[in-house]
Amino acid sequence: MQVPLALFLYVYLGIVFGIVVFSIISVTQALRFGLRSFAATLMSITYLVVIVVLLIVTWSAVRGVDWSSSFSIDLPGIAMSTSV
Amino acid sequence: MKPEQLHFPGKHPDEVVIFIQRRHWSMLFGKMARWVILMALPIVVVLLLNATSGMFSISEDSVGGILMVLGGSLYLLIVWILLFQDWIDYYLDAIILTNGRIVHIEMRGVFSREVSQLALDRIQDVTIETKGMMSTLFGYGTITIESAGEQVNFIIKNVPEIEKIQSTILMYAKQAPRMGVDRQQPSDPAPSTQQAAPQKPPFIKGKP
Repeated sequence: MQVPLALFLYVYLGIVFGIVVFSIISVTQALRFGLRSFAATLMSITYLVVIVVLLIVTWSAVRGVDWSSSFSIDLPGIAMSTSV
Repeated sequence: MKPEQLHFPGKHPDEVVIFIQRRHWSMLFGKMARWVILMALPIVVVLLLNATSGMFSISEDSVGGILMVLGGSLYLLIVWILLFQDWIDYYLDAIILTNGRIVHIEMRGVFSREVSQLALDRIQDVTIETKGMMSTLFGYGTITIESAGEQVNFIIKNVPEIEKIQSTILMYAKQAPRMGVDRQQPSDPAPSTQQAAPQKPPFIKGKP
């Protein structure tokens, strides 16, 4: 079975988008109800910085990939059912 | 920041915060340790497998390597989010004693929170309970604040320094009817800040 590599990129980007939106809302919650303290601000900044660094590292690791290519997966179960 | 300067959602303009107390730090430590181990686990597994059998090698050309980078990144992001959620749950859960009431904020997830409050002159008794080895070792326990009338009792678990909190709450509860600081009775005259804190409490703790 041929699987386009771009599929994984779209899934990844979709989840990352959700994570970023969720993170921003979480941080807003923490700072809104978090008694506006130094600890809440520091933890929120650390949280966002780690997310950004992780995304940059990931992107630099897969930057040179040809996303238009595909790869094959050998699935014996599917192969058997189609052959029958 | 001193407790008196603390602002929390729903605070009255003339209300003075006496202390704010969160759950014992060991509650947070246990959860954080779990997420840190989960973060390190895949890295350790991949390194071990790579060292022993040579599989899971990451190269720019291999599809397996690309998928592993994407999957690993998502895994770490999700664990990091869960860690932050636990921190929010710990940090935003608090008991706040003011000169008029006790406020208990309980987070139930990021988008759900429960805020209960009890006027000081409604307090009938404060019971503390230390149960179990860890609780005795670290000195935390459960505080039950019994209220008059049909209001439900306050049960707050895993609170450190419960004896001091108990005596502080009882002291302020004893003073409350005389001071007339019950915010739930609008006919009462609003007390001034000076009236609200006539003597130094035996326990002021909390670094919000």
